[in-house]
Amino acid sequence: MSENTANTKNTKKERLKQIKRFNAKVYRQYTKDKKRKIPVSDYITEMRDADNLLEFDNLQAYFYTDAGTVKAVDGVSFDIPKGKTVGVVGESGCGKSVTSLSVMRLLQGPQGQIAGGQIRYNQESMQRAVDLTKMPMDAMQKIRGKEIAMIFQEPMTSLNPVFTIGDQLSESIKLHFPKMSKQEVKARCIEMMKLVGIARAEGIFDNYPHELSGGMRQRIVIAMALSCDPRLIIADEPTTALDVTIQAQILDLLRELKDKINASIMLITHDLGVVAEMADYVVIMYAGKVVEQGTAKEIFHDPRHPYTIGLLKSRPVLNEDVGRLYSIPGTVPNPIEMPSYCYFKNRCEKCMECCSGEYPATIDVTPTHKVNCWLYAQPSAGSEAGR
Amino acid sequence: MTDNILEVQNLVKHYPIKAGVFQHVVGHVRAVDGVSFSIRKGQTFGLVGESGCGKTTVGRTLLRLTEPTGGQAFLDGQDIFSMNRSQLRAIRPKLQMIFQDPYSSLNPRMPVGELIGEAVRQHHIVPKDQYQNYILQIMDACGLRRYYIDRYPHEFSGGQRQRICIARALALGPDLIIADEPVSALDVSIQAQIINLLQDLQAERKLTYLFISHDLSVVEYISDEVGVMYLGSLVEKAPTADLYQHPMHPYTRALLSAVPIPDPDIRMNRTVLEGDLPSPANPPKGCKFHTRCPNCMEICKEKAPDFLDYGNGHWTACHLYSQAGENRADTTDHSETDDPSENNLS
Repeated sequence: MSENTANTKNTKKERLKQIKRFNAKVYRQYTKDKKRKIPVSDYITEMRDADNLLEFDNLQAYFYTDAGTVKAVDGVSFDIPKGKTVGVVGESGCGKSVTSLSVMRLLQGPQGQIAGGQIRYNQESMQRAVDLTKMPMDAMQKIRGKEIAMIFQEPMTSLNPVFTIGDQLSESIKLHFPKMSKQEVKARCIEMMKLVGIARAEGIFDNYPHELSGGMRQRIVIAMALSCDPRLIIADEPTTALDVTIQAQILDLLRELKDKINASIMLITHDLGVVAEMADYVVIMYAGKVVEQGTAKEIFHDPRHPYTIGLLKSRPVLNEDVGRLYSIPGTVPNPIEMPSYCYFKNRCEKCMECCSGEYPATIDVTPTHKVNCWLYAQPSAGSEAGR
Repeated sequence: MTDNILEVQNLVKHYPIKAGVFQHVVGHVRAVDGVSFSIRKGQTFGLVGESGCGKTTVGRTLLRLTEPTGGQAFLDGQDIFSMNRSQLRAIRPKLQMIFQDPYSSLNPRMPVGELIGEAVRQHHIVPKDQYQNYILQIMDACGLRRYYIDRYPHEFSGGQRQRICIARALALGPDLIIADEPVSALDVSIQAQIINLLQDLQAERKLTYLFISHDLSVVEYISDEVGVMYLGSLVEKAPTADLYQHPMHPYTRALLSAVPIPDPDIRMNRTVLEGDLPSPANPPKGCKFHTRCPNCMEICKEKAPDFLDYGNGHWTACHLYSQAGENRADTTDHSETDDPSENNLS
């Protein structure tokens, strides 16, 4: 008995050593790559469709931790068309935030890295398409905050408490438009604050974040994101920390502003109600992979993947009488040792024999509606099981 | 009236604001300002409102976790607020709470069996020789595997932790459970599991819930009666179906219309409330809601409306209805939206 435990202890130690050695190698490579000068030709690419603003192509973002490699995002592909809103939905830990951080290249290194795939961005200002994953940091600085801006989740923590609202708002304007005079920068800030519906903009310019309420702070964060007329706004759970009445105000504001400056929005949320209201296209993520994507109508009226169906059924809806709530059994699998078969298999009601095989490929239901599920793989078997 | 398990009358909780070197009191935060309601045995009373409206404070004062400033609360006819420590201790097993955040409400140094069992031993719920068995039964009832008994909270996910919290409350055999936002920290698919568990336990053990939440759709699903709070007072109280189909108070209407519906075809024309919640330290004069109310009248700025019964147990505090006769023309002017509650007036 004691020998046995000693043995397992040894193998555990051995494993840990292996992981650490592997990670050290990865980290070294990462720092080396960071210092390397990258020629422009390395990151110029072609868009698959000129109408898209952003294309994710098999994006992989991994975290090399001491417990093993966490594949937070593992082969995500979807498009963000110009002037549209794409909603990314999933539960916590499914990799939706990591996807957005990859776009901004803000993953915490050296543990978090983009391990593969492309994020193609249609940089219209320079009439070219670039691969954001390969861009050097100095070129990225010019895009980040100016062409792609982000609204972070918690308005309480994403503002610096020791700087005034004016300082924080003008920072990105000063950085991206160095030729602007002080007065012009201030005028621009106040214009932005008025745009997001802050009445007393001049007064608030010199206030500190703690003097504002949650809804006001979120407006400031939105104003910061909009201050340089971005082409793409990434909103990471913009309303999760807010009350419903404030949420309604912020959502209305976002919708209005999107049309005003003609930008695209990538809206990350776990609230299906918010997505239905805002999004043109919906992407459902589960455990680091996209399981279903389509237009909002297709996803909400004709969901195909059992996970999407479960998600839609498990929320009580206002003024709708339902019997017992549907609940998806079980929990999300451990992210370190992901199985080779469909990740949803152990929680799926419609699990079939072939589900134990390899991970299901992407199947087109309609040209815009894609699903990763064996149910729809063979038309004959699929239609039967799909009922 | 005997079938009411809990009766709360005019509950008041003010927090003093202190200032200066000598910490003298300069004002009060009126967290809860005169709340009255009662819960029938075996039913669920939902309390909804925005953050800062005092709904959590109501729950906490009922357990005497914070001392009330005024008012009365009766659990099975016994006045909770006038009890001394030992009387309170005797009644605690009947009155249990499930806290909001399952990540911070479990002691990380205690194994699951101890977390659930500590209070059972303290209150001598079962004889010593049956103790272990009793804990296992409770764990079974809450959907926890038996071998979890020696594990520590960090080994569990949020949903499992919330199950442990529920088991802990349930182990004392309570009559009334105060559930303070039990599902808001959880994922959607896990929320459904916990809500179902709460309902199953209610049916099995004839439990009564005071369900505090800001999520209107969850409250609609689980409650028999709902109270809506705004700035420390109840503004409306009615049976669930009545409240959701015929909301009377403008605040309730605004709240309901603000909830996003998961259907892309319904992009509703909603009444969006302007502005933020006023400070509870300095609530507006007259009706507290008048600063944001779309149907505000002159009288609202002067006089606070009374909380009155408008039939079928539908209570509300709003001038729109209290002087239905004379101001009738006025009200229809202000509310252009088609409004089912207008039918109630005639």
